[in-house]
Amino acid sequence: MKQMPYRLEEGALERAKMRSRAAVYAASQRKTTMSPLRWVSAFAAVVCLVLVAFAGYDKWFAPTPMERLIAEMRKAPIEIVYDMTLDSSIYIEEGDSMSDMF
Amino acid sequence: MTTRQPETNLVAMLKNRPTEAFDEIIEVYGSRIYWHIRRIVVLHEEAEDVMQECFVRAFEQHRSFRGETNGSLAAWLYKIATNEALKALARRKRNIFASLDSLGARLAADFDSEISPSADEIAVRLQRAVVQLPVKQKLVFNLRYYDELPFEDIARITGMSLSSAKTNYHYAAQKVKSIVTLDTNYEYEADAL
Repeated sequence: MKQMPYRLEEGALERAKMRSRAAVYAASQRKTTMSPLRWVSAFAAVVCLVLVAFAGYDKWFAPTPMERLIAEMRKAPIEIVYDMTLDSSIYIEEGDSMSDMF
Repeated sequence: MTTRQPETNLVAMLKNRPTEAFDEIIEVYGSRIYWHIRRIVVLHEEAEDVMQECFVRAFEQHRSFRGETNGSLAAWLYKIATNEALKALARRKRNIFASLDSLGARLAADFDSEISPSADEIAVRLQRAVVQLPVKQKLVFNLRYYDELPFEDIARITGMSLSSAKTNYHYAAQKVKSIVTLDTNYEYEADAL
């Protein structure tokens, strides 16, 4: 190993190794299971997340006014749609301006 | 005195008896990891803290160690040590938006207070130049020059591509050489880079 010009007390490296060993031993004894309080808070967080997701979904995918109109027209009985088409063709045939349609 | 385990035995031991394996791993790699960290953070107390953090982190993640993807055990440990040392350096920054490279002057000042009285003057000059390098170049230079690791491992440890690791080493060596050879008496050592 190449020479290191750093100051290092006698035995300091061995002490550092011992400290690391002790820390690893402590980590090996540490319980990794979650406490009940953590389980409860994790569950509450998941519920909140689901509610927010639902609310967001509805808001995000709500139909625009035009989409609502198209949907209503699709649901309307064929006679009404036919009458509306007929009305507009009459206006067009008579050569009136478009403003008459409204 | 116990005999040292080769790396393959340590990897096998890691799966069955991790705590015992780590005793051995710290014994075998402790010095190398300590010096790698010390060359990054410079101060002994901080290096000791980071070394402890590194081995604890390695212990916590030992199940994710896969020899095939992580490379050698040493490379895996070096990678964790590098990440922990850089985290420690980041904590020293006054401005969270500043780059780690801005710590060069401060590290050089810390280094001056940490020089061993019996240190060789050329080694001091070389290390003072190294601590001031940009982080990427410093990491690559340290791993190649001091730890003598292959570029493949260096690339894996630093998360760079192989060509990037080689390029960084080339630039680092040039910079170190130019700083060291400011005093022409040290040309001989600089030529060895």
